Amino acid sequence: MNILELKDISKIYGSVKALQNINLQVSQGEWLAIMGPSGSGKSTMINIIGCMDKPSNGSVILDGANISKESAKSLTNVRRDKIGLIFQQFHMINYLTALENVMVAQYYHSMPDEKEALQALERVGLGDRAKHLPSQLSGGEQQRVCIARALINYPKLILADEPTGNLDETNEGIVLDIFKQLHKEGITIIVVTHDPEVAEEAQRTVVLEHGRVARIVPNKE
Amino acid sequence: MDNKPLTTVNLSVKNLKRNPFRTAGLIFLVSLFAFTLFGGTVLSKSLENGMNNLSKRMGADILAVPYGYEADIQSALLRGEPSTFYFDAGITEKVKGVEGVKDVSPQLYIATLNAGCCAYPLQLIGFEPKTDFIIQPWLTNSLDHLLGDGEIVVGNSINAEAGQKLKFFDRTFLVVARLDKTGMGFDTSVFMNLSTANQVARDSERLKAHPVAENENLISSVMIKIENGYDVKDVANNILQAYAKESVHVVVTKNMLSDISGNLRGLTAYIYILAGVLWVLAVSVLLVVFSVTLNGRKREFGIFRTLGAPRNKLVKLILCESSLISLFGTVAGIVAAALVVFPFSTYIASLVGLPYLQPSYATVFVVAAMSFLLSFLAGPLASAYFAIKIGGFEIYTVMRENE
Repeated sequence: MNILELKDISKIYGSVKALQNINLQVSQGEWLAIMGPSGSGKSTMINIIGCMDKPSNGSVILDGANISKESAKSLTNVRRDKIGLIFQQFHMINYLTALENVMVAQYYHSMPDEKEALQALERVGLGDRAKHLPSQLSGGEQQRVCIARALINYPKLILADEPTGNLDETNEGIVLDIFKQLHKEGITIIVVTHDPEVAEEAQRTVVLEHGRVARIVPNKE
Repeated sequence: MDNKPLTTVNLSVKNLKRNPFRTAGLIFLVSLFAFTLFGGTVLSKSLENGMNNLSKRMGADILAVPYGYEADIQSALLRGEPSTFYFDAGITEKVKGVEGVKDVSPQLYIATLNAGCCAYPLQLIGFEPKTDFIIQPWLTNSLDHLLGDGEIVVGNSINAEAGQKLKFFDRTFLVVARLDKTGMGFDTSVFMNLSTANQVARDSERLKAHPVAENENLISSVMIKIENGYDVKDVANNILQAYAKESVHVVVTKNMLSDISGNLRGLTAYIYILAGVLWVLAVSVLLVVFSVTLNGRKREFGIFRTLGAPRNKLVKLILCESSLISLFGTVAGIVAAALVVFPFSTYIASLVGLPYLQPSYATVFVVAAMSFLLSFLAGPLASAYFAIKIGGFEIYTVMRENE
């Protein structure tokens, strides 16, 4: 069963065609990597899959619902309920502790549950850093907090934009191990990356060039 | 864990705490406005009240004083400043004979050095209880007898009650009554009959020569009430024509009051202009600061949006922050103004030199409520535009800014 389906997706900014006729299916529980040079349309694709923008043409089917014509308000609800976002720059709220950074996602989703948020931090190995502010955490630890935050509302899809781009080798390994674990648990993961080693961890790699799908490469099982 | 539950208010408080200096600065700005508005309005209302009270209960239409002491009688009446000026007591009867004069009552002003009751020199006012129509209407409790020798009546701000004794120049006097709050110089004056006032003047001779001790036939002023149907200016002119050559001058109380009213209007206008300028300043500075800081926080709002925060929750968050700043500033400003205006009302009254009578609690409450409302609105108003605008950005773009 597909959790995500892109049908003839195009995105046009004035005279610039950022995406052209993208067709892609992502199965439930699949780990997919998206690669491509700068300007290939990766960011636009993340925007559309992450419900932060709408396509100019085509349909986006997420969890069985066509969301391509939804209002911005509805897209916010879809994003909140079905997608967990992880960014290269971590993007923690710097005046909130690690625990509060996780709880803030619960707050905007439904209701903060401190015990559950703490369990999410423990799951990424940061139970003892719950009271620390972002400035007191290393880059790898911050990214793990963001993974905990992305997971806290049980999303259907984890969308990660260069999640290891700012990490050293050790922390990259820790983050990828977490992703492997999530994949084993059946969570769908889409990772946008420049790093072939990260892409190789996925089941398939979609390569974008000039706003089009250039090729889809199956990776090791 | 001892975390407070995450709410819009808690998130706002956490962010305000993150920038303590900026937050304190903004709170100070709002408090400055609230202080000026509340303090200034109470001050202005007190002066207006004092003025109304004075014109309602002044009693005399004309004051006869020695030539050259027109300003001194105003100081004595309005501010209770110890004044000493004298002319012959026979003027009282002479003035009574002028056409249009209905009642006359003499007063004698004697300044003390320091008295046991007070830390500053007092104005002692001798008056004739039989003819007086100025002092006695202000008594809080009516006297069952005419003020006798050795008995005194104290102004409302003098720290003494009926039955207590006060000492002036080593002589003890019995307080028999207290005046209502007048808002003018009477509040800090002590009243006695003319013979007692003469006695005080003689007692003061031990320290310094006193003209009244040398000549008991002196008074300081004559309070004059005119007959119905006469024009006060005509009667004043009649007195001047008849007795100017005996160094008698007149002050028409209506004119004196209109001069004070003019000063009061100027002061009130100044207070409200200052409050208006401060309000515009406060809103403008808040507008600039919110604009800069909210622009700098786009990434933070972007994170909230990716986590599913709807636009209205961000608007709520920003308005909550600015409202908290306004709330703390407003409360601080009003409390600070109250701590200055109420305990130091006597000092303020002496500084401004105008009749000063604090308004009722109900009026103070209304002024506080209005000041609160206007001051409180400054923050949310200044942030409203940016609060609405901030939700409209492209989430992914602001998230990737500076990458």
